[in-house]
Amino acid sequence: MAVFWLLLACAAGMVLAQDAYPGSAVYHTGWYNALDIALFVLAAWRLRSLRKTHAQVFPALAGAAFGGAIIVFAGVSSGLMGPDTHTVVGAPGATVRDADAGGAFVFPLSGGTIAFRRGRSWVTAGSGRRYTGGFILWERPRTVVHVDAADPRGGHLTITQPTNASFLSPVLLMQQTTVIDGMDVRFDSFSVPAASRNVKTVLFTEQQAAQLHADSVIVGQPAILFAVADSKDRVLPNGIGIAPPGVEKTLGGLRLTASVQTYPAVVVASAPYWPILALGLLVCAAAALRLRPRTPSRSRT
Amino acid sequence: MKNRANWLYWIAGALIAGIVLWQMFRPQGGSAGSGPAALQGQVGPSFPVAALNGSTSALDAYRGKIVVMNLWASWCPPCRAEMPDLQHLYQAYAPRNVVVLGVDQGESTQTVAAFAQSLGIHYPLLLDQQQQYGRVYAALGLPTTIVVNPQGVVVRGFDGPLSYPQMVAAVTPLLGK
Repeated sequence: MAVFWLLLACAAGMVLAQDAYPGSAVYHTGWYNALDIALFVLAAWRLRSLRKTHAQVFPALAGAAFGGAIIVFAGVSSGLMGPDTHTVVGAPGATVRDADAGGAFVFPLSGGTIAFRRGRSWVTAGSGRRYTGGFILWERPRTVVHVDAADPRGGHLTITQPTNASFLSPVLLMQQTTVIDGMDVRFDSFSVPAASRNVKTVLFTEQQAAQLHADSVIVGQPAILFAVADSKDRVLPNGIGIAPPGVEKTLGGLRLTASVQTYPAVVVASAPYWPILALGLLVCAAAALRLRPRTPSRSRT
Repeated sequence: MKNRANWLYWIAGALIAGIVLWQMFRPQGGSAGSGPAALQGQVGPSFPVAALNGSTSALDAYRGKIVVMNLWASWCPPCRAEMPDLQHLYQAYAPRNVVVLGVDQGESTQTVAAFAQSLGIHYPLLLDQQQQYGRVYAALGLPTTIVVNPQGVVVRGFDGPLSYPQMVAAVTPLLGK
């Protein structure tokens, strides 16, 4: 009987791990789910042989196996049919739809937490995990760059991001990467339509900036490289420059200032649907309670 | 008796499987739209920003009125093209509790003032230098127009310029309510 319980506990444990340690890609692999099913099938096989040797407690064991089946089904459904773990990134104030999660994430304009809207229900994410339906959500901070542009007289200019989801955002999400001088750096771009300028922005971390040996870099601070081009994407003379955060740089007829900020993204991990999981655990617990007064030594073996 | 118990297990199992699958694949009613119509049916977010007259104002300062909020910028040709019609709407429908609110996206006071004067714009203009309204109302481009009812709820959202008849058609259902 111990082997039966061990196999059942392992099968259920593999499912409970999906809730306890969410986000791992391994939960969506075929072998993980096949192993889970195999453990349960072995437990069920073992149960058959207990039918004669533990006839008195067999109904309780069968109940526990049924509870285990519910748990394994919930886990395997989530593992094989749920979407892979992914991170949803949005600009402050933006609403980003996520087809996999079947809803939209509303990013706060400043401060606050990301909210998930699915149908009529709202769930706020946070640094801790939030369970919603078949998903677990949690926030993950990431570095973004806030840019300001002005004309040579200091007149503020509109910033647009024609290639990004948030068209009118001065916050660059820096989602693309490239290699400069052997360093993997993140970059983004924006437009200043009033001045017919397109600007590429590259972010160097503190460590990367230290390797640049540029006069304008401040030790211990990140650095932002601007490349200002005209409307035909031709980089302008004196259009490339590097500056630390908060320091204004005049390039290609624009006065540019950038600040490096931390802003949350949200991680979406599929997880076994908890009411079903709870039901399975309850069935197992009820079966275990039925077993208590009937110890194996008192059974007719 | 055993057969009956087996059947019960099968039925319960099938029921649970059905619930799990339904939960995973059920259609999501009322899913969020995209673009400026995304906030339709919700109270329109409001942020205090500088007004062209030197004060500070926000969308919710116009609660109790039908607000036609127009996000624009002086460099945007379609915005320029529709502003005379917005001015006409403002004048014609002011007695019927309609206000046009222009929210400039990211430009300086001097630029906006000079532009408004050149076009003869007299409706209230706000200066949203951090482009907060543009972000939250999910502007896909400029101009973007949002119609808000007297309770502050977003009724319509439009991407791109509107003709005068379209503006009138957008506010007419709210008149007299």
